[in-house]
Amino acid sequence: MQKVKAEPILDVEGLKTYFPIKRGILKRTVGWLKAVDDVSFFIRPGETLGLVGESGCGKTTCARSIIRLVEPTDGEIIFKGKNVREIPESEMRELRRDMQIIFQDPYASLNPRMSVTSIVGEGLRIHEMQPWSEIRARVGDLLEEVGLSRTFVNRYPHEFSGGQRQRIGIARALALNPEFIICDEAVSALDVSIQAQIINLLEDLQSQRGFAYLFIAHDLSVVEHISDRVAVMYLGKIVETATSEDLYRDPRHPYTIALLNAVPVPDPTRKKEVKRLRGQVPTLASLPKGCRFHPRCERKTGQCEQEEPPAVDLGNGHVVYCHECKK
Amino acid sequence: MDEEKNTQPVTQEVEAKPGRSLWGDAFHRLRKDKFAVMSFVIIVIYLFVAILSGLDWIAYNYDKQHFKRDKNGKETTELDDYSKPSLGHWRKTDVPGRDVYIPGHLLGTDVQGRDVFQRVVQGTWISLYVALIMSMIYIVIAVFLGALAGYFGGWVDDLIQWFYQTTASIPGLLLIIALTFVLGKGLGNVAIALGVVGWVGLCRLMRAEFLKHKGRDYVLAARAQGAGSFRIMFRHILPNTFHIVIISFSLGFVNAIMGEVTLTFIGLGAKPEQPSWGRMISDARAELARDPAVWWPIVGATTGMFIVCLAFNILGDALRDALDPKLKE
Repeated sequence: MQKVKAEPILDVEGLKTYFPIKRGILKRTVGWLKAVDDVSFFIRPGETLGLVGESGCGKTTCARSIIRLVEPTDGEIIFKGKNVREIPESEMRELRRDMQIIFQDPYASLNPRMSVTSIVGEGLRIHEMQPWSEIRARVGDLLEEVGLSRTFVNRYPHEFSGGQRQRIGIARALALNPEFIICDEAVSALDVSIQAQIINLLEDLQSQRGFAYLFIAHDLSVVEHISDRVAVMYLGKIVETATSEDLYRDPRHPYTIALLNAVPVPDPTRKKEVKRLRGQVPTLASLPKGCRFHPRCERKTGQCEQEEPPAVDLGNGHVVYCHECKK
Repeated sequence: MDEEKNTQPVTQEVEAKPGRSLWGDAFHRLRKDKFAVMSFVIIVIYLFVAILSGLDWIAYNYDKQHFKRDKNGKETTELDDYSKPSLGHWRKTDVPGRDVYIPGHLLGTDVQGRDVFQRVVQGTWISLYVALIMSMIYIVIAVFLGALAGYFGGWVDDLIQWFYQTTASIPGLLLIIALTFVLGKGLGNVAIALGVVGWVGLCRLMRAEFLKHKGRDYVLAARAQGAGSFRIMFRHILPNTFHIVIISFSLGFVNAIMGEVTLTFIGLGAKPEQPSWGRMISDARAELARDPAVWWPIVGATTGMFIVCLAFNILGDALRDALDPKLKE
């Protein structure tokens, strides 16, 4: 997929989100949990950026920081030319119309006490102050758009299956006609067959409405399918960014290579030599010095233990943060 | 994945009928519980009786004094004091075939010849009136402060916590007595004092619930939609925690009724002429010491109180079972 090189709709520069670690009766801050530490990326209109990484590496915090569900500690988040971190809450509310989020767990993300109309139509109610009768009709249209029946408008979440609930979550994200949607592991909690349906739905919606996605997942095969570009995250930092094609054809960072090796191949006759990663993932509260990946890396040198790796640009937007990956 | 482009989901999975909310669901479960239904019916009867007597449609002559009757059934000028409960009886008169029916007092009469049963009925109104005012006051305070503390955290939480810890550390009865001295005696003031003192328990529960819910995905989703704090607190989180308020209301009602009785017993609540259950129980101190003991006023008042308290307790437990999302079968 070739996209027109337009101005990015979202430009994240040096995003840091730290959580204080408090101890004792006086709740003194004894340290910082660096969930997201100096992350930079951009997304162009209509483009999909995949963000992958293992559990606990800060993907979700990163996503929530962008729409300020979590307050970032530092960095710039430029969305449609406005710095999300600096605008007041009232203006932020307006900006939220254009950036929406689809959550991972379709059971937790829908309010069990509210009907589908109230859930999906909430944004319309807040931003456009329409009467409920009109909202109900629009919610019906949205439900049809995500492949549900419009007769569901008066139902409650507990009457639906996981896949259907996720469709309701998608309808909610679509309601305000956003330009950018964050899919925070939007398919991870679903069955594989349902995953395929939801991903196809997301792709169809993108081609019809042309919004940009930040697609977060821990499953590389899912990300490969939907993304134009992919960023790989490890312990709060991005270690490699490339177009989807480049990354899968020619991964450079040892972590990316290990991740790709871990993807199961649906072929029982093929015996693949799996290079397993050794060692434990360090905690975010006490990060190793130098390159964060060095305790588990096979190619580490003395330099890796001391210095943070620089960005190495391999052309065509392929950037890798590694001492040993220089050409 | 491309081959099986299936954007048409199985929509037949749930047939098109109007949805049933979780409240509807809980109501359905509650209806299956026989004891709960019975308790509910009893409470409704009490409410009905209370309203009717409050409007003076029944038991309006609870303070009417009764006079002794002569052997012809004519009222004398002598005041009837204590008389035992009776259903009434026919009395022979001098004229044969013209016997008169003397209506009895179902629960006897008190020291001034007033019908105890009518006073018990009138007491229903007083009790429910006190309980209702108290509940309204403490529920509003508890929900509002609990919601603020749990949702906003930080210094708001610290302040509210300090406030309820201080309130809780003063013995409740003392605080109520102090408040009624400030506000003055009387039932309305007793109700206010009970409400002002009784909010701490529910407030703690609400704070914990809001704390738990504010990080949930559905709340984040609402914020992502642009919902403000108050919309999230009262439109999103409150309905999800409201079952606690309902249960607390049902069980707290009992405390209110008994609180009124206790305070009247120590002389702070109802005035002597008011027919409250507490007043009747208070008077029983002297009555039970008599020989033969006058037992009917206290039996009437405590039975009236016992049945409604038991009904509220059973209903409260049934509500807890029906409304708790974790106990769903």
